[in-house]
Amino acid sequence: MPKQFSIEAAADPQNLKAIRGFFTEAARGNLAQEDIYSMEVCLNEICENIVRHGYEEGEQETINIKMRFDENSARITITDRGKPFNILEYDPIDLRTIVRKGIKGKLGIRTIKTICDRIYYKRLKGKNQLVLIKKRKK
Amino acid sequence: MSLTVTEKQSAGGVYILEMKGFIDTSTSSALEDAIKKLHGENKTKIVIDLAGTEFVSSAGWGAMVAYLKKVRANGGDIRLSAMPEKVEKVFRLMEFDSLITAFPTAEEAVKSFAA
Repeated sequence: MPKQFSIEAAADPQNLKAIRGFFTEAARGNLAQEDIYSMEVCLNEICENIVRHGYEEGEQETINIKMRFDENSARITITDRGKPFNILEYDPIDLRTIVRKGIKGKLGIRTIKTICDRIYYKRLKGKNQLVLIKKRKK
Repeated sequence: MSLTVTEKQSAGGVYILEMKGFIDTSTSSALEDAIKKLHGENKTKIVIDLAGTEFVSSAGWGAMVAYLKKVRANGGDIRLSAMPEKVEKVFRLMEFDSLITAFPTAEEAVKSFAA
């Protein structure tokens, strides 16, 4: 039987730790230990992006996260009402370029695209819906 | 607890920044400010000790990487020590080890500057 969990939190940097904590608790026993942290990092990257860039300052908005674990994979669906952002349209930045230019951002996309096995994005009725999938190790 | 950064002077003009807590977008400015302060004082041999760090997001890695070129241009470097195993796995998976050298202990990281 698949196990499902969900959480909705205000899009506020102060909630990132609680979101990560919720995910790690939900994933315990449902995902390989080494993959729990890496997917925690990916989920955090998406939420950080929504918090930092998704909304105008002062907007009171939320992030909705659904998690589904079955025998084959972990599936995390993140939904927000922020500005459209399709991660699939962006290529991971080269690390040496980051150093050469002294850029402190743009590592999140690289992180997510390296760690996740599959990524899906849809813009539906004014919402971003991003799905991150990590296959379970047999 | 969010992030506590403690600066310690070590041998050979090396400065250790001990991190305790988690590094994400809500806390990474504390790390960035600490690196910026050392760089501003021309203290460019920097060890970031992650022994007490439970989580590092791209905001944390970005804060370190953004200063690499500047400190290296001044004869220094940023080196890491004592990363928790789970953090180190992602660090290597992301190939950040091609940019920043990591050591098992702060002592080894400090000694590496003398080599």
